[in-house]
Amino acid sequence: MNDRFSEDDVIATVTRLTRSQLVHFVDVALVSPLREEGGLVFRRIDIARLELLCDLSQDLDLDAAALGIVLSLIDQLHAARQDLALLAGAIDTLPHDLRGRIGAAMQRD
Amino acid sequence: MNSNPYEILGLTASATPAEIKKAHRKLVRSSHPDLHPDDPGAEDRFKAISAAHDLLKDPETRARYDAGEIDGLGAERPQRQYYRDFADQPDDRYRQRRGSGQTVDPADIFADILRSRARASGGGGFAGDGYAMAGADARYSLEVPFLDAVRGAETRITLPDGQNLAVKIPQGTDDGQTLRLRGKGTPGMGGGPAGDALVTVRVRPHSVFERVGDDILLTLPITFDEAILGGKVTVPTIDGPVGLTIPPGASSGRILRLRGRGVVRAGQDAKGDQKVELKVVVPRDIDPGLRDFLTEWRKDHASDPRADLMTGAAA
Repeated sequence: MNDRFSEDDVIATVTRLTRSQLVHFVDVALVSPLREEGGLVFRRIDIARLELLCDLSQDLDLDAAALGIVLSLIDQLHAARQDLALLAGAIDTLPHDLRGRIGAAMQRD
Repeated sequence: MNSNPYEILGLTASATPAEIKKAHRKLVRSSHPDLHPDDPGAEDRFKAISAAHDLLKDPETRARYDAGEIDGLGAERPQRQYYRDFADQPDDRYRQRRGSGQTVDPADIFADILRSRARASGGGGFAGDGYAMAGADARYSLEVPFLDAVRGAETRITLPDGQNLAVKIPQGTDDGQTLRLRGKGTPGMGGGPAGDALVTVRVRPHSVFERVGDDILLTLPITFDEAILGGKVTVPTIDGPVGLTIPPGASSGRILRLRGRGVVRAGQDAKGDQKVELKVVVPRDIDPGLRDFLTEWRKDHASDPRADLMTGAAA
């Protein structure tokens, strides 16, 4: 699947997005396209992020400050979840009795 | 699946547009897949909510639904990928952790967790007991006037959250250059160091000066008498006006060099030059005295500057 979108492709794909909004999102670094000689190059992750930005700003009426906060929290959440997945993978490789003890420790609250 | 858009939004058929908007907003908040990454049912709910809202927000399609002309399923929405689908992509540029994009050594993560547990003296879990994380780098772009970039300046960036950040533009900053402001990025968590702010500078073009490498280019209009007789004129440079001597017999296109009047880069001794390209400007209204003189002059000073134009030129 194509994973390189020009500014025009983005406007055509994310139909709710105007060019000035796109320029603004790039300016304030809410999306970080690759900067190449021929111009900006957006990836599919940027498209998904722009769809989310449209949902938040248009459907939920978040203002610029709230958008930045929410996106930053989601990004931190993604990082934390990846750490957790890594940890779970590491625990999976441990001997059975150790896994049992970790499981028991996590049941305790 | 329930296909009554009113029921999906928890409304009755008499709902006002404001009630529709309000109900939709509330449901987006509780069902958006990116706001609930662990909820496997969120995507289906969100799709149904979006379809119902698409149908009811437009008075025309709502009226057609109410009249029984179309059913509540509405148009098929195009397949969409949510941001959470990219959460485990290895090169996610947005992930807020130092070193994203590089291989993360699991040992570092364990070490962090163990350190924080030692500090927390018996507190359970990871959250809230001193798990330190460095802040992410924040990227900004900044448009700078031409003269501020070549001469150096101080300015401020207004951040999305309304705060602002002082930025020192070093002398000789080039278009596209990125400045790193240490510790001005996202704050760290739990006492971790803040990230850096990376500011990409875009230099606004100037109407008179053009920068080529460390040289400044400028086109200087001169009168035809200055071109023929030579003379002293004043030329603007990036550091203010300076005097320039035009030699007698200077044609358009001739380039005079003002040494050391170009761009100086911060921390370097070498200076660029300013190149002044002459452009002869002839008066619009020729006075009779000049016309008579040139008419006479032309009779015994015939010359053709185009005689050799094509000599040696490729076919």
